[in-house]
Amino acid sequence: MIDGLAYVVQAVSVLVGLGTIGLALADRRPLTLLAYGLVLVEVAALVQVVVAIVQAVRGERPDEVATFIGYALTSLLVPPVGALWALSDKSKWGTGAAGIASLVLAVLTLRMTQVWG
Amino acid sequence: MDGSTAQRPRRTSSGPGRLLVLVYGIFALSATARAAVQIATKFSDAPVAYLLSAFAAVVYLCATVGLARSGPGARRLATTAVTVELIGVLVVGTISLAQPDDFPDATVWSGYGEGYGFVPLVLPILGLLWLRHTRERA
Repeated sequence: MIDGLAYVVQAVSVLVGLGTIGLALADRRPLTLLAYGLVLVEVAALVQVVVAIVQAVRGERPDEVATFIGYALTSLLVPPVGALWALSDKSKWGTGAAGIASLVLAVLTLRMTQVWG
Repeated sequence: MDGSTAQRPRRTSSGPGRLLVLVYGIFALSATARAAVQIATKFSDAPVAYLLSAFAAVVYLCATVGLARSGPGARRLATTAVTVELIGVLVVGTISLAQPDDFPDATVWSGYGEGYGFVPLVLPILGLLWLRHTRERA
Protein backbone atom coordinates (compact mmCIF):
# COMPACT_ATOMS: atom_id res chain seq x y z
CA MET A 1 0.00 0.00 0.00
CA ILE A 2 1.08 3.59 -0.58
CA ASP A 3 0.44 5.77 2.47
CA GLY A 4 -0.23 8.91 0.41
CA LEU A 5 -2.85 7.12 -1.67
CA ALA A 6 -4.47 5.67 1.47
CA TYR A 7 -4.79 9.21 2.89
CA VAL A 8 -6.41 10.42 -0.35
CA VAL A 9 -8.87 7.49 -0.28
CA GLN A 10 -9.71 8.24 3.36
CA ALA A 11 -10.12 11.96 2.61
CA VAL A 12 -12.49 11.19 -0.30
CA SER A 13 -14.50 8.76 1.80
CA VAL A 14 -14.76 11.12 4.80
CA LEU A 15 -15.63 14.19 2.67
CA VAL A 16 -18.28 12.35 0.65
CA GLY A 17 -19.57 10.65 3.82
CA LEU A 18 -19.87 13.84 5.89
CA GLY A 19 -21.32 15.76 2.92
CA THR A 20 -23.93 13.04 2.42
CA ILE A 21 -24.80 12.99 6.12
CA GLY A 22 -25.10 16.79 5.95
CA LEU A 23 -27.64 16.41 3.12
CA ALA A 24 -29.51 13.82 5.20
CA LEU A 25 -29.68 16.22 8.17
CA ALA A 26 -30.99 18.92 5.82
CA ASP A 27 -33.62 16.34 4.71
CA ARG A 28 -32.39 16.51 1.11
CA ARG A 29 -32.09 13.61 -1.31
CA PRO A 30 -30.37 14.78 -4.51
CA LEU A 31 -30.08 11.35 -6.16
CA THR A 32 -27.66 12.26 -8.95
CA LEU A 33 -25.25 13.99 -6.56
CA LEU A 34 -25.43 11.07 -4.11
CA ALA A 35 -24.79 8.58 -6.90
CA TYR A 36 -21.74 10.58 -8.13
CA GLY A 37 -20.42 10.72 -4.57
CA LEU A 38 -20.65 6.96 -4.11
CA VAL A 39 -19.17 6.29 -7.55
CA LEU A 40 -16.23 8.51 -6.55
CA VAL A 41 -15.80 6.51 -3.34
CA GLU A 42 -15.95 3.20 -5.26
CA VAL A 43 -13.37 4.45 -7.79
CA ALA A 44 -11.07 5.44 -4.89
CA ALA A 45 -11.47 1.94 -3.38
CA LEU A 46 -10.82 0.33 -6.78
CA VAL A 47 -7.65 2.38 -7.45
CA GLN A 48 -6.33 1.41 -4.04
CA VAL A 49 -6.96 -2.32 -4.56
CA VAL A 50 -5.48 -2.26 -8.10
CA VAL A 51 -2.33 -0.51 -6.79
CA ALA A 52 -2.07 -3.13 -4.01
CA ILE A 53 -2.37 -5.93 -6.61
CA VAL A 54 0.39 -4.31 -8.74
CA GLN A 55 2.60 -4.08 -5.65
CA ALA A 56 1.88 -7.71 -4.78
CA VAL A 57 2.82 -8.81 -8.33
CA ARG A 58 6.10 -6.89 -7.96
CA GLY A 59 6.85 -8.83 -4.77
CA GLU A 60 5.67 -6.48 -2.00
CA ARG A 61 3.26 -8.57 0.04
CA PRO A 62 1.07 -7.64 2.99
CA ASP A 63 2.07 -9.16 6.36
CA GLU A 64 -1.29 -10.89 6.64
CA VAL A 65 -2.25 -11.81 3.08
CA ALA A 66 -5.60 -13.49 3.72
CA THR A 67 -6.84 -10.76 6.07
CA PHE A 68 -5.77 -8.10 3.58
CA ILE A 69 -7.69 -9.81 0.77
CA GLY A 70 -10.76 -9.95 3.04
CA TYR A 71 -10.61 -6.21 3.71
CA ALA A 72 -9.84 -5.42 0.07
CA LEU A 73 -12.91 -7.34 -1.15
CA THR A 74 -15.05 -5.74 1.56
CA SER A 75 -13.83 -2.27 0.52
CA LEU A 76 -14.96 -2.95 -3.06
CA LEU A 77 -18.35 -4.34 -1.98
CA VAL A 78 -19.45 -1.80 0.61
CA PRO A 79 -19.90 1.31 -1.62
CA PRO A 80 -22.07 -0.29 -4.36
CA VAL A 81 -24.09 -2.63 -2.12
CA GLY A 82 -24.44 0.11 0.52
CA ALA A 83 -25.54 2.56 -2.19
CA LEU A 84 -28.22 0.20 -3.55
CA TRP A 85 -29.52 -0.50 -0.06
CA ALA A 86 -29.37 3.15 1.04
CA LEU A 87 -30.88 4.78 -2.04
CA SER A 88 -33.78 2.34 -2.33
CA ASP A 89 -35.17 4.06 0.77
CA LYS A 90 -36.89 7.32 -0.10
CA SER A 91 -36.28 9.16 3.16
CA LYS A 92 -33.46 11.10 4.77
CA TRP A 93 -32.48 7.85 6.48
CA GLY A 94 -31.56 6.38 3.11
CA THR A 95 -29.33 9.39 2.45
CA GLY A 96 -27.78 8.95 5.90
CA ALA A 97 -27.12 5.26 5.20
CA ALA A 98 -25.29 6.24 1.99
CA GLY A 99 -23.12 8.56 4.11
CA ILE A 100 -22.29 5.75 6.56
CA ALA A 101 -21.43 3.40 3.66
CA SER A 102 -18.99 6.03 2.43
CA LEU A 103 -17.40 6.57 5.86
CA VAL A 104 -16.88 2.82 6.28
CA LEU A 105 -14.33 2.89 3.44
CA ALA A 106 -12.12 5.18 5.56
CA VAL A 107 -12.17 2.61 8.39
CA LEU A 108 -11.52 -0.30 6.00
CA THR A 109 -8.61 1.64 4.46
CA LEU A 110 -7.13 2.19 7.92
CA ARG A 111 -7.36 -1.54 8.65
CA MET A 112 -5.85 -2.38 5.25
CA THR A 113 -2.87 -0.11 6.02
CA GLN A 114 -2.40 -1.79 9.43
CA VAL A 115 -2.64 -5.31 8.01
CA TRP A 116 -0.22 -4.48 5.16
CA GLY A 117 2.44 -3.84 7.80
CA MET B 1 -54.40 -7.76 14.45
CA ASP B 2 -57.65 -6.93 12.66
CA GLY B 3 -55.76 -5.74 9.62
CA SER B 4 -56.15 -2.01 10.13
CA THR B 5 -52.96 -0.23 9.12
CA ALA B 6 -52.59 1.62 12.40
CA GLN B 7 -52.10 -1.63 14.29
CA ARG B 8 -49.85 -3.45 11.86
CA PRO B 9 -46.18 -3.65 12.83
CA ARG B 10 -43.98 -1.22 10.90
CA ARG B 11 -41.29 -2.51 8.61
CA THR B 12 -37.97 -2.82 10.43
CA SER B 13 -36.04 -1.95 7.26
CA SER B 14 -37.38 1.55 6.57
CA GLY B 15 -36.65 4.87 8.23
CA PRO B 16 -33.87 4.59 10.83
CA GLY B 17 -33.96 0.85 10.10
CA ARG B 18 -32.12 1.57 6.83
CA LEU B 19 -29.11 2.73 8.84
CA LEU B 20 -29.38 -0.13 11.32
CA VAL B 21 -29.56 -2.83 8.63
CA LEU B 22 -26.62 -1.25 6.79
CA VAL B 23 -24.45 -1.33 9.92
CA TYR B 24 -25.56 -4.91 10.69
CA GLY B 25 -24.76 -5.89 7.11
CA ILE B 26 -21.27 -4.42 7.34
CA PHE B 27 -20.68 -6.29 10.61
CA ALA B 28 -22.03 -9.51 9.09
CA LEU B 29 -19.70 -9.13 6.10
CA SER B 30 -16.58 -8.26 8.07
CA ALA B 31 -17.23 -10.79 10.85
CA THR B 32 -17.72 -13.56 8.26
CA ALA B 33 -14.54 -12.58 6.39
CA ARG B 34 -12.56 -12.35 9.61
CA ALA B 35 -13.78 -15.71 10.96
CA ALA B 36 -13.12 -17.39 7.61
CA VAL B 37 -9.54 -16.08 7.55
CA GLN B 38 -8.91 -17.05 11.19
CA ILE B 39 -10.27 -20.57 10.79
CA ALA B 40 -8.58 -21.16 7.42
CA THR B 41 -5.11 -19.87 8.34
CA LYS B 42 -4.48 -20.29 12.07
CA PHE B 43 -7.30 -22.27 13.62
CA SER B 44 -5.08 -24.19 16.08
CA ASP B 45 -3.75 -20.95 17.64
CA ALA B 46 -7.01 -20.13 19.40
CA PRO B 47 -9.82 -22.51 18.40
CA VAL B 48 -12.30 -21.23 21.00
CA ALA B 49 -11.86 -17.57 20.01
CA TYR B 50 -12.14 -18.39 16.29
CA LEU B 51 -15.23 -20.57 16.71
CA LEU B 52 -16.71 -17.69 18.67
CA SER B 53 -15.85 -15.36 15.79
CA ALA B 54 -17.72 -17.68 13.44
CA PHE B 55 -20.67 -17.82 15.82
CA ALA B 56 -20.75 -14.01 16.01
CA ALA B 57 -20.69 -13.87 12.21
CA VAL B 58 -23.76 -16.16 12.03
CA VAL B 59 -25.55 -14.02 14.64
CA TYR B 60 -24.86 -10.83 12.63
CA LEU B 61 -26.03 -12.51 9.42
CA CYS B 62 -29.31 -13.64 11.06
CA ALA B 63 -29.88 -10.18 12.56
CA THR B 64 -29.25 -8.50 9.17
CA VAL B 65 -31.64 -10.82 7.31
CA GLY B 66 -34.26 -10.63 10.07
CA LEU B 67 -34.22 -6.83 10.16
CA ALA B 68 -34.06 -6.40 6.38
CA ARG B 69 -37.10 -8.59 5.71
CA SER B 70 -40.62 -8.08 6.94
CA GLY B 71 -43.12 -10.46 8.48
CA PRO B 72 -43.49 -12.23 11.81
CA GLY B 73 -40.87 -14.89 11.00
CA ALA B 74 -38.27 -12.27 10.14
CA ARG B 75 -39.13 -10.33 13.29
CA ARG B 76 -38.67 -13.45 15.44
CA LEU B 77 -35.35 -14.18 13.75
CA ALA B 78 -34.17 -10.60 14.31
CA THR B 79 -35.32 -10.54 17.95
CA THR B 80 -33.58 -13.84 18.71
CA ALA B 81 -30.37 -12.87 16.91
CA VAL B 82 -30.14 -9.42 18.50
CA THR B 83 -30.85 -10.84 21.98
CA VAL B 84 -28.14 -13.50 21.51
CA GLU B 85 -25.84 -10.73 20.28
CA LEU B 86 -26.41 -8.64 23.41
CA ILE B 87 -25.84 -11.64 25.70
CA GLY B 88 -22.78 -12.59 23.63
CA VAL B 89 -21.12 -9.20 23.82
CA LEU B 90 -21.82 -8.92 27.59
CA VAL B 91 -20.62 -12.45 28.45
CA VAL B 92 -17.62 -12.52 26.11
CA GLY B 93 -16.72 -8.94 27.02
CA THR B 94 -16.75 -9.76 30.74
CA ILE B 95 -14.83 -13.05 30.37
CA SER B 96 -12.25 -11.47 28.06
CA LEU B 97 -11.49 -8.82 30.70
CA ALA B 98 -11.68 -11.15 33.73
CA GLN B 99 -9.82 -14.11 32.15
CA PRO B 100 -7.73 -12.73 29.28
CA ASP B 101 -5.90 -16.08 29.01
CA ASP B 102 -9.07 -17.71 27.69
CA PHE B 103 -8.98 -15.36 24.70
CA PRO B 104 -5.48 -15.39 23.25
CA ASP B 105 -6.77 -13.67 20.11
CA ALA B 106 -9.47 -11.06 19.80
CA THR B 107 -13.05 -11.65 18.73
CA VAL B 108 -15.57 -8.99 17.73
CA TRP B 109 -16.98 -9.11 21.26
CA SER B 110 -13.70 -9.00 23.24
CA GLY B 111 -13.59 -6.10 25.70
CA TYR B 112 -17.23 -5.30 24.89
CA GLY B 113 -16.23 -4.60 21.29
CA GLU B 114 -13.57 -2.01 22.10
CA GLY B 115 -11.66 -3.00 18.96
CA TYR B 116 -14.64 -1.78 16.94
CA GLY B 117 -15.34 1.46 18.77
CA PHE B 118 -17.84 -0.29 21.10
CA VAL B 119 -20.27 -0.47 18.18
CA PRO B 120 -20.85 -4.20 18.96
CA LEU B 121 -22.12 -3.16 22.42
CA VAL B 122 -24.36 -0.31 21.22
CA LEU B 123 -25.76 -2.13 18.17
CA PRO B 124 -27.86 -4.80 19.95
CA ILE B 125 -29.30 -2.19 22.33
CA LEU B 126 -30.36 -0.04 19.36
CA GLY B 127 -31.62 -3.17 17.61
CA LEU B 128 -33.86 -4.21 20.51
CA LEU B 129 -35.17 -0.65 20.94
CA TRP B 130 -35.92 -0.49 17.22
CA LEU B 131 -37.71 -3.87 17.21
CA ARG B 132 -39.77 -2.71 20.17
CA HIS B 133 -40.53 0.63 18.54
CA THR B 134 -41.75 -0.98 15.30
CA ARG B 135 -43.79 -3.82 16.73
CA GLU B 136 -47.58 -3.82 16.49
CA ARG B 137 -49.37 -1.62 18.97
CA ALA B 138 -51.72 -3.55 21.24
